[in-house]
Amino acid sequence: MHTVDTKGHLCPEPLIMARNAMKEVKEGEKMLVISDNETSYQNLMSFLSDLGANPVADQKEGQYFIEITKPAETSSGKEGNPEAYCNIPHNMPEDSNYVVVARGANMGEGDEELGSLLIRGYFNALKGMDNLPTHIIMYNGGVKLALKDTDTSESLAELEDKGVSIIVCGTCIDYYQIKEKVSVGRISNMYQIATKLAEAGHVVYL
Amino acid sequence: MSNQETDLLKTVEYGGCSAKLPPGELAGILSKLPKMQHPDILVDIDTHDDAGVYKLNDETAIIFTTDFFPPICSDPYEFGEIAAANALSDVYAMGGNPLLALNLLMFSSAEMPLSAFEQILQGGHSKMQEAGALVMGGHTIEDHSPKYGLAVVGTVHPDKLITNAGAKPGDLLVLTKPLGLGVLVAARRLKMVHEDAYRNGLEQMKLLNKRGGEIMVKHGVRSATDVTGFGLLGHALKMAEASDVSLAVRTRDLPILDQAAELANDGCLPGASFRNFSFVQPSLHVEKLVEPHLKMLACDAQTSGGLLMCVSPDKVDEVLFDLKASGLHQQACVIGEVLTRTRKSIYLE
Repeated sequence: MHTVDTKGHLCPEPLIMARNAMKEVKEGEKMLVISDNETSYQNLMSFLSDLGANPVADQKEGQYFIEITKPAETSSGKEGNPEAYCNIPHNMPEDSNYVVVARGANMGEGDEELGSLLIRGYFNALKGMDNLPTHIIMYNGGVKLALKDTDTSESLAELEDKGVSIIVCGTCIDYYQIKEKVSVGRISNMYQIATKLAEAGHVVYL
Repeated sequence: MSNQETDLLKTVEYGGCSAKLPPGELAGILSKLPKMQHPDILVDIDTHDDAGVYKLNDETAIIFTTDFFPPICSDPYEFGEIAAANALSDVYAMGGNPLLALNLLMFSSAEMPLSAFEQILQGGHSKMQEAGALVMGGHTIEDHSPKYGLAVVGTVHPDKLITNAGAKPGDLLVLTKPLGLGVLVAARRLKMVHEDAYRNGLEQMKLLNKRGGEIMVKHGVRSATDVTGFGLLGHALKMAEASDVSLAVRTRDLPILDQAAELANDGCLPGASFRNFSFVQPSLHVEKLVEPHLKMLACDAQTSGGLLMCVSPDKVDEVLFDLKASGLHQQACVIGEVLTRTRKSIYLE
């Protein structure tokens, strides 16, 4: 296995050494990064996770052995030109680029009590899924799902902590006069909602 | 620049504002100190603002602040200029005018030539002159590596005070200087940065926030902070908490110094960026589409960084126009907005 020995080097050198070495191996190939400094090790773990290299660490006799896998790079040459940025980071598979939209406080049409039960069940189930959406957008009556002391807001908070962006329609919370009661999510305007919907790989309407 | 061979950067591992204590640990220690209470204290350490403010009378309040740090660059004169610009910045961030200053210098005459001592002070005084502040003396002790900064007193009308506690939902966030100073300085040590990109970074650090402060006062901006060692997100977090709001920051709109994005992407990320990221992480939501190196640049420790202003939407065009017309802030731009408070203090997009 290709090995990068960063012992004796202080940050940011170990990160640069690991990054350079990754350029030398093929996609999907494994590499080993060795560190003897706890701070460097922690920074390496954070940096390599960000790169999508799935670092797995082992500690032996004051040394850290980090095994990484070179991710597929789909966004090369992105510096300097924001237009060239790829919307899908290299560590995100195509099928997880989706957005969930809550149009109301209920799921589906029909009995309201049943609809409320269903939507609570949906977010509860979503928490346990591997394939999470990039965003959950809530508008019209859907914004009530984000209010304090609701079990849906607790599920949404857990999803937010897992990296799902929760978008709450600002016009809607003004209309319902519940601005002070929203506990979770980023309050947004229609331009941002329209942008997210346009960028999504696909959209799931509840 | 001074004409000598002294390389101050060789004396330190962490220079400039990246030499700050970890923000979380500092907050823990400060919380144990007895709280100062007085009816004329307008701003104390409670809101982690840039400086303390004390009202003398209905017309005048004094802004009292200090900053000092180890070398951020090789040249002693430039180090003096940067340290002074940084020390003055807190006064400008609060809408004030600097009045008086005292030098704080640690220097070992056994380790370094006395000419470097003189050059540091010359650089500092040149910036104080530019600011129109009077240096009244100071204090020097023997220590290695060198550390320099100033204690500064400024004045402001109590009704025109700008704090980090006045951000209102709907305001737009304007940043006046580009990010990436910590990255460039780290890259300089490793000889990875082009000379012109590095020089440009030095010029940004030497640039006073004077004009930015004047523009805030002119347009009635009520909330701002300066961006230094805790990085953009660290200082934004303190502002969000002090103002009881959430902030959205758009990484694609962040002004970034030449070459800094490329260096950050190559792993040239100083330790301070990771410390700052750990500090903000519990209060931060990062959208999945955010490029990781831009997230880290948003945490990059700045030395003598720019002003982060909260500007009402009807004033933002004029503020940006004035910043650019000054010829000093070509990269100033809107980087986000102030939101009603929800469970995360910062939404990074």
